[in-house]
Amino acid sequence: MENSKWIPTVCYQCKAECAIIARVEDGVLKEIRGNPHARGKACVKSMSGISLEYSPDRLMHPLKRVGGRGEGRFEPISWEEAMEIMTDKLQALRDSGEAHKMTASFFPHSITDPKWRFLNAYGGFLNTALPHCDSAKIVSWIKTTGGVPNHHIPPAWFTVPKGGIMILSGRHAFGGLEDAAIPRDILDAKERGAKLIVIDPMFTPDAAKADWWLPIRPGGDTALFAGMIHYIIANELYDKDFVANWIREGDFDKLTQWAADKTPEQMSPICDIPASDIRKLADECAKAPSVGVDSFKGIMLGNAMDFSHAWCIFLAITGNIDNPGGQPLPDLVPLSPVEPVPTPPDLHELGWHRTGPDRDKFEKFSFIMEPTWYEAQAIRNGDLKILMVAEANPALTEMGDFGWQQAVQEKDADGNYKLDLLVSFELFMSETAKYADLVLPDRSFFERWELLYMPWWYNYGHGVALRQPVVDAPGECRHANDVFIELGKRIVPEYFQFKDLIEYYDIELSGLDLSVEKLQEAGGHWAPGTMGFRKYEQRGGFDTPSQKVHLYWEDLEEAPWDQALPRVAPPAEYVAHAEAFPFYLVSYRTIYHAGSGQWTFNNPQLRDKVSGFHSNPLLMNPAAAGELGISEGDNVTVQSPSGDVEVAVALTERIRPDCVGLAHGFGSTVGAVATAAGGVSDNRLIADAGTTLDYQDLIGGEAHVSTRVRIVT
Amino acid sequence: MKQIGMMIDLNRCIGCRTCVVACRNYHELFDHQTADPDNIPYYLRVESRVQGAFPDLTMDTWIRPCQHCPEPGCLDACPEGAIAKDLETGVVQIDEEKCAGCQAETGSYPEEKAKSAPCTATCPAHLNVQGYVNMAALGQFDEALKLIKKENPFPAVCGRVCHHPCEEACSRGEKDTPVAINAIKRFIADLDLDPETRHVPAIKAAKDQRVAVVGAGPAGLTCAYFLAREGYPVTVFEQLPVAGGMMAVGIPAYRLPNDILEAEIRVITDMGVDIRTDVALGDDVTIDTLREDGYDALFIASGLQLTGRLDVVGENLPGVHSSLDILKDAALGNPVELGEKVIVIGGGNAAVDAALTVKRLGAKNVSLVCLEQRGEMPAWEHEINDALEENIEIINGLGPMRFVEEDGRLAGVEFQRCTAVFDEDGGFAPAYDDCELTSMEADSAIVSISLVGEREFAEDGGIALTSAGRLWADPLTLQTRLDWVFAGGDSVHGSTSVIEAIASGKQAAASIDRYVRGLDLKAAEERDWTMAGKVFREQYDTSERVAIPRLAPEEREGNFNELEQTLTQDMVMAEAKRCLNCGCACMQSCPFGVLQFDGKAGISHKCNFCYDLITTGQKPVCAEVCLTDALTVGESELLKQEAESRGLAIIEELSRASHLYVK
Repeated sequence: MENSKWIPTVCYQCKAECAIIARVEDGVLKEIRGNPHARGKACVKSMSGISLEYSPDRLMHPLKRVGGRGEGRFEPISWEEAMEIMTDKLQALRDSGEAHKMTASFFPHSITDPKWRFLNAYGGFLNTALPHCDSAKIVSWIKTTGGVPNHHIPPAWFTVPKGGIMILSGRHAFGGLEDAAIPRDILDAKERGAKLIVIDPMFTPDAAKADWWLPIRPGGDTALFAGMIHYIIANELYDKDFVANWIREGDFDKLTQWAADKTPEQMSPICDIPASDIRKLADECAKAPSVGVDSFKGIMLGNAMDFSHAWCIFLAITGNIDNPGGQPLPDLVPLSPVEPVPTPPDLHELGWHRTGPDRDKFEKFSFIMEPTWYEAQAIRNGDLKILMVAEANPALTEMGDFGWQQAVQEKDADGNYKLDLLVSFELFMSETAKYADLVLPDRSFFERWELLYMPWWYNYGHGVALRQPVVDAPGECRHANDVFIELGKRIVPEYFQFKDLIEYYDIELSGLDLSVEKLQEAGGHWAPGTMGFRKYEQRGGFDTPSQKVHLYWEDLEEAPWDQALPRVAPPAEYVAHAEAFPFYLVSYRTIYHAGSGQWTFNNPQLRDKVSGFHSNPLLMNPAAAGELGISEGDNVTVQSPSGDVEVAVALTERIRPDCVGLAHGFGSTVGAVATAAGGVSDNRLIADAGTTLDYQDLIGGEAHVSTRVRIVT
Repeated sequence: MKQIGMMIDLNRCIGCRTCVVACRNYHELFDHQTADPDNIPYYLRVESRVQGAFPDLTMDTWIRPCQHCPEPGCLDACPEGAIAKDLETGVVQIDEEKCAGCQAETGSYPEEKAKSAPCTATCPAHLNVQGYVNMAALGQFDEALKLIKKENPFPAVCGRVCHHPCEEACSRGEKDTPVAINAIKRFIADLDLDPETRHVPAIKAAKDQRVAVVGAGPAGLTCAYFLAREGYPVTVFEQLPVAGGMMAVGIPAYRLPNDILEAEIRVITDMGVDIRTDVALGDDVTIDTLREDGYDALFIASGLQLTGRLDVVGENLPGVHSSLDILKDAALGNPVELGEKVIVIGGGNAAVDAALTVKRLGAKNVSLVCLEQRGEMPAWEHEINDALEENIEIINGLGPMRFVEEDGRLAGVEFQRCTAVFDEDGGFAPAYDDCELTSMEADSAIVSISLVGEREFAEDGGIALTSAGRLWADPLTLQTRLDWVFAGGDSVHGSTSVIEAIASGKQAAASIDRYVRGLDLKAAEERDWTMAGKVFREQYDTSERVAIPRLAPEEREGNFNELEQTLTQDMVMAEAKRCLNCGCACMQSCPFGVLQFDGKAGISHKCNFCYDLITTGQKPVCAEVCLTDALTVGESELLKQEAESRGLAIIEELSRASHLYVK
C-alpha cells in the first residue's frame, strides 16, 4: 500500500461534523477513522461515507428545468449559463429593493460560511436547513447566563467525576449528532463511578446502559424538573454558595414562591413518574458532586422553553454551571474579520415578520435567528421570491403534509410561479431538486475546503477544524461555497475582494496566528488548550445585565400568558388532541440516519439490515396493540391532525403503551437505494409549525414534534 | 497452540455497527456500483437480546465475528482442505487459492450458495451432506466419516434404514434423479465396522456431573454419545436384554444386520458409556431412585413398546399376534409358530416388515390387509415395493370386524369395507360400510397398528402426559416439568424414524449440557435452515444415478440376508461426483453462521481476525474503530484472567469458542 495515506478532514454525514482521517489509495477513498488528534471516534454513518462518495447516483453536471416544477424533467446546461440565470434574477430582485425576499436554506457549518457572508452582503436572510430543534435551549441559556448561544454543547461527559450524575432527558446520546466520542465518554464516566439516568418514553440503547430508566410521558419533563426543584428547595438541598453569590437578588425568592405548589405529588400525574421517584432523583442529584443534563426531543415542543428554563434553574440551584460534569459555558476564541464586514438586513425595519399575516398577534415575540423556516407560508404571502437550497431537502423536511411542494408550484394571476427562482445544490437528485429551476452538482465533504468554527459545538467548542479535499470531485461538481463566492464577486464585489476560499480562510485564521496550511500541518485540527471551569469567577460574573444568573424572566411577564417562570402543564397541542388522537407520536432517531436527505437514506450500507437501518415500521407496545387487535407486521394507517401514513407495525416492549414510535427522516422517493428500501415519512404527520402558532411560546419553542396520532386498522 | 481472541464487553457494546462498516471497507467487500441494501457481504454482524416486559427491561447487544473455534467445524467440512487454523495465532483462515466455493462458477448465485443445501436443511439431524458427499467424490472417506459422526453416531444404521428425506429434496432431482446420498453414506459408514478404520470421537475433559439415560434406542444412545463426547459419565438403562431399541428388535435383520448395529454401539461403549440391559424403568429403577443415586440429569427415551388395541371381537384369541412381538421374537431368535396362511393387518412399515419376516420364517401365503388405499399407506414406497417383489398380496380398503374362532383358536378374519380413512380435517377416523363383508381364512393374524408407550413410571414419577398419552416435554429444550428430567424420541414424538430419534437425542444432549452447566435452556439458538432453492449450473456431470445392488427375490427366500448391498468404492466416487454442490459445505458446518459466499470470486470468505494487522502488532479493524472501546484483543487465556481481575462475568451462552463475551 505504497500509495496509501491517511488525510485529516472533517465528516459531514450529520450535523456533528466529527474530525476524521480518510485513507486514500491511488486517489481512491478507502477508509475512515476518527481523528486521533481530536476526539478520535467516527461512527457508522461516517464509516459509510465512502458509499456516499462513490454512489452511482451522484449528479455530475448542472441541470435546468424544462417541464413544470415537480415533473423532474431537466436538460444539461453549462455552468456559465447557470451563473448567468442566477446573477440576472438576483440582480433584478436587489434592484427592485426586495433583496430581503431572497433566502438561502442551508446548514450553517460555521460562522465562517461564505454563503452567510453573501446573504448579509446581498441583503437576503438565512434560513437554516433544519427546524430550530434547539432554539429553546439557546434562548434559555442566553436569558439565564447571557452566554453565547449554547447550541449543541452537551455536558462535557469526559469531565464527570466519580459519583456524578448524567441525565439524558429525551436525548439519544448514543445516536450521535453531538460527537461520535460521546458514547465512549459516557461509558468511561460510568466506569469511573458516575451514574447514567435516562428519561425517555422509549427504552433506547442509552437506556439499556443506564443505571436508571424513567419512562416519562412525553411533554412531562418540565413537571418532573419542577417537582425536583420543589423538593430541593423545600429540603434546603440547593447549592447555598452558588445561590447566594451568583443568582440575581430576588430571583431565588420568586422561584421559591413559584415552586411552593410544585410538589412531587402534584407533578407526578403530569409526567407519569411516581412522586417517590421524583424525590429520589432530586435527592441523588442534589447530593451528587455534579449533574449534567442533555435533552433534544424535550426541547422540540410548543412549550419547549418552559422545559429548558426549568432545566437551567435546576442546574443553577444545584451549582452545576461551568463545573466539571455540569453544563459547560464555551470560551470564545475569536477569528479575524474579513473587511469590509457586511451588515445583515434589519428585517423588522423592512416590515418582515416570520409569522406573516399573524404578525399583529405575535409581534411582541422575538426569535434568536429571526427568520425561520416557514418557506411555504412566505411563498404564499409573497415574502419569498428567490430560494437557494444547499444540503437541505425542504420538499421532504418541511412539515405539514408536503405543503412546501404545493407552495413552490403556486402561480400568481399572471401565471408566473410565486417563487421566482428555486436553485438546488445537490449530490443526488432529491425531492427538492425535482421542483428546482436549476439543479447544481455540489461537492461532497471529501472534495472541498471548509473551515469549521462553531465555538458552541461539542467538537470545536475550543478550536477550529479544517475540511480539505481528499479526492477529486467527479464531473463538473462545484462546491456551493465557491458558487456563492462567484455570485458575490458578480453582484456585491466590494465584499468579495479576496482571491478565493483559501485566502478568505487565511484572513480569518490570521488572528490566531494560523493559516490553512498551518492547520494542515497541525493534523487538521487546532485547539488552544483545556476548556476551563467556573470562568465566571475570573471574569467577575456572567454576561447578563446584572452579571448574575437570571432565573426570573420579567420580559415575559405580560405575554398573552405569564412565562417569567416555567409553566408545568403538558404541551397545549397534546392536550388539544388528546381525545381524538390517543397516542403520542415519538419521532425517534437512530445512529444510522440524519435528517431527511439522500445523504444517509440513499446510502446502501446505512440501509442494509446488517450494517444500518432498513425501513421504519411503527413501533407499538404489545399491550396497546393487543387492545386494538393489531399483530406484528399488520399494516395500519397512522393519522394525525395534519396527515396520515400507512405503515407496518413492529411490536416491542421498548416503548410506553401510550406512545407509538416512528423513526425520523424516512420516506425518500428519489435514489436507487432509498426507493428500494422503502419507509414512510414521519414529517407527513407533523403539522407545519406555521399552522400551530397558538401552541407555541414563540420565543424558542416550536411545536414540531409534539404530535398525537390515532391508529386505524 | 496459542489462541488469540477478543473480549467483547456487553457493558460497552451499544450495537452501533460502526465495526461492521469499517470491516467491510477495510476488506473491500463490496462494489459501489452494485451495492444494494441487504445483499452486501459482511464479516461480522451485531446480535441483540431484549428481555422482560415494559417497564422492566434489559437489552444486550454484541458482535458476532468468526469465533475461530478451537475445533473448527468448517475445517472438517471443507472437501478441498482449504480451511486451516494458524498455529501462531489460532486464527482460522480460508486459503483463497484452494477454496473452490464447492464447485461454484465465478460470478454466480451468492445468495443461493449462502443458504443451506436442501439435503442438509431437510435432514432431521442436519448432517453436512454436501460436505461428506464431496469428500467421497475425492476419496477422502476417513474425513467424511469424521464429518458425519459430528452429527450422527449411527451412520451405518442410517445408511441402511433411513428414509432419506435428503434425497427427496436433492437439487439434482430437478435435473434428473437425486444423488444416492444414503448409499454413499453407507459406504463411508462401513469404515466404522472395522476396528482399524472406525472413528471414535475425541472425549473432552471429564466432567463431574452424571447423566442417566433410560432406553438404549437411537434417541437414548445418541444422547449418550454426545454427552460422552462432552466428557460426562453416562449410564444407559435398557429393559430388553439387548441394546439398540427398535433398531435391534423392530427392524429385521434383512434390512439391518445385527453386527452393523453392534459395531456402532461398540463405539459408544468404547467412549465410556455404561449400558445396562434388562433393567426396566418403573420396576428395577424409578425416577426417584435415580435421583437418589446421584444422577444430575435424566433423559427418558423409553420409546413405544405396547401395541394399541383394535377393540374387535376375538382380539385375544390364540393365533392373533402383534407385529412388535413377531419382529422382536424373530430378532431375538425365539421360536415363532404361525402356520401357512398369515394375514397381516396394517399399512405401515412395521406391517410390511412383519409380512416379509413371517415369509422368511416359513409362511407360504402372506396377505397384508389395510384400511388405506395404496396411495394412502403410511409405509414407505420402497418397503411396499419390497413386499410386492416377494409376492405378498396387498389388499387395500378393508378393516377388521371380527376374528373368527374355531376350536379355541383363530381360523379367519372378517373385514368390512372401509369407505374413508380420514375425516375432513385429515384426522384418523375410519368409516365403514358394514353391508359389504369379506371373510378370509387364516392360521395366524398379525396386528400392526399404532404403538403406545409405558405410562406408569411417568405417572408415578410426576412426568406430565400429553392428551395423546405420550410424555410431555418442552419442544425447544425437551425438558419435562421436572427440571432435571428430559424426554425425547418416540416416547415424546410418537412413532417416527431412526434419524428423527437421533435428532431428538442430539437435542436432548445439548439441552442437558446447558442444564448441568446452569445455562439458560431457552437461550438455545435455533438455526435458520433456509434452503437453497435453485440450481444455476448448466455444466455438470450428467451421469445417471447409480443402481443400488439388491438381492433378487428368489435369493431372499428363507433367509435374513441383507436385501440391499453396499456400493463399491468406484461406484461411490462416481455417484458423489453427481452432486451439484448447490450450497457451501463450510457454511453448513458453522454453528455461528459467520461464513459467507462471495459470488464475485466464487469462494467462501469470512473474518480472518485482520490477520495482516494482528501479526504486525496492530488491532483488528473492529477493535480499532469500536465507538465505545468495547473490544479487547489478546490471548484467550489472558483475557479470561483480565475479565476475572476486572470483575467481569463471562457469559457462557455466548462464549462458546475463542471469544469471551463478558458483562
